[in-house]
Amino acid sequence: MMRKTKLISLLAVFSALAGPLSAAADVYVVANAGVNLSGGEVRDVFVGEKQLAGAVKLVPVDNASAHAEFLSKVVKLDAGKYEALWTKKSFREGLNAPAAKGGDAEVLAVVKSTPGAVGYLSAPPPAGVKLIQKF
Amino acid sequence: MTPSSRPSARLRVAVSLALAQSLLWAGPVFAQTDSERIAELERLVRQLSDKVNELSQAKPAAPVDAGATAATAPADPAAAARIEALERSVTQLTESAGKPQTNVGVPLHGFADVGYTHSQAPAADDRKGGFTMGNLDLFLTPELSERVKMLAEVVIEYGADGTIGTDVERMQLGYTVNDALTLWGGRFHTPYGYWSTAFHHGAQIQTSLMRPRFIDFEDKGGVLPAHTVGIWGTGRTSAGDGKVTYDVFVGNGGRVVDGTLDFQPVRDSNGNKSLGGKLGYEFSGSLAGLALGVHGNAQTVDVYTGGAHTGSDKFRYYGGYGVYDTDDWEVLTEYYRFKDQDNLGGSGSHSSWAGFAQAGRRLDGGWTPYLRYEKASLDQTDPYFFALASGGSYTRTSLGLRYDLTPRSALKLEVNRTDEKRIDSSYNEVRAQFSVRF
Repeated sequence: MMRKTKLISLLAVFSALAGPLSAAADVYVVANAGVNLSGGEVRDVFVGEKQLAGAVKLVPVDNASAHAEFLSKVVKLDAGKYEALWTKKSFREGLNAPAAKGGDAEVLAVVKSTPGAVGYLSAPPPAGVKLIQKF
Repeated sequence: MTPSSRPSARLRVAVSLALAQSLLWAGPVFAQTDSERIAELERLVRQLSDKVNELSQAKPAAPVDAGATAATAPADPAAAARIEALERSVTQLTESAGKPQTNVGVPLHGFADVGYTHSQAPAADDRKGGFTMGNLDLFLTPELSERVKMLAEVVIEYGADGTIGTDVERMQLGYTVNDALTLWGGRFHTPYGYWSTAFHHGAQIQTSLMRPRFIDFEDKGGVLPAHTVGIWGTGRTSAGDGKVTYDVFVGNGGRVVDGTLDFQPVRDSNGNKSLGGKLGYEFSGSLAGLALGVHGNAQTVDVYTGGAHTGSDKFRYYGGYGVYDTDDWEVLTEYYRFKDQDNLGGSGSHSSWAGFAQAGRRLDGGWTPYLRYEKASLDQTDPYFFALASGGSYTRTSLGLRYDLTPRSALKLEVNRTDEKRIDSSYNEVRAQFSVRF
């Protein structure tokens, strides 16, 4: 039993150390239940190239707790270039940058309650939102 | 250790490890914003819940020591109660922060710049140089509904004579028809070339300190109407691996009043509207960052001198532009061919051209040296260019250095040499600028 306890302890320590790393590994793009969107269209949504999904106006939402992973994996830009891109988009096309939320819970709350909302999470989404794609 | 005490020991180990985990994460948690801390707390709550559940499931069914059970039993409800309280707090906070993203106010953005100029250019008041206030540019982008939007831009600036001026640079009401078409009505930046719609008053987002002179604003030496009041359709759509971009507009034509180009924000002096547009292609893959396009415009421009109608010109241009914008390079070029027809004076048709090429190399550390050559070869027998105070031919070579102090602020130093054909004069200028965006 002592061995088992030690093993559990070691696993727990490992998970504690690896927790932040594993949390940063995957990004789950989710949308309001009424949104029809493919994984290939997600980047366009977050750079202002795609504003509508059918008749639904899309509302992209950024997530500070998974922002770096999302930009790296999906948008393929660093944070500075992403911000500069939106400054230009706003100035040239009158578009507004995605609202920034602090974490998964806030993003989930917005995505659930806002028609057309598209966000991303650092953990698998619960029921009530549509998983578009895991990146 | 008795068998009956094992779950308690496990719980202590697990809670200790969970606390250790929270301590390991404590740095980032304290370094984050409230909402980020909420997310981290949620994660901790989930982990604690998982561990408690895991231990609850691992409890042996029998035999159970009643005394030991009594000693450990309160630990689970207490932990569960604390977790539940914490979850409630997190839920309340996140619900209040996660309201639907509608009616979130009017986003306000802007640009501002200040600088120093020393110029040998001939000036009526003999002033050669000194510190200058640039533009304070404020723009709003309210979304009025799912498809109706607005772009309003106001610029406050001092003129060369020291008087302060406020100008509604843009006031566009738009309707998003679909991803490939947005319709705008109102006053907008005339879509020709690249510079006009890409940078305009945004000093901080353009690499160089000054614009090419012939595409400068109407009251600052430009020979093209930088603004149009009318209707504008714009959009982009996928084609091959890249995207086709297009702009079509119709608006009031310009007029020249006492040497200055007036784009006529309120009504047109004649029935011939300005009609123009551009068509471009944005490449992707190994050519990502490259965009090429063509543009054109036709309008009838009346000339007024001292209140008298002294000329009328069928003003037309066509040409092209190219942009190569990557992490390492920014190369811009625009070309305009003018084909004008004198409608009033009988001097016939006239041909002129203007263009520029600019290249900047983005180096590590935020430094960008750049070089630009621009030339306007404008027919002085053309009533349009003859009537414009800035309608003379010229060449200008500019060399500059930009330093990005932060992603939102830049310092620029630029020297240029200009040869003015109309007044047969050559002069040098040195300019420095500190520009920001917000």
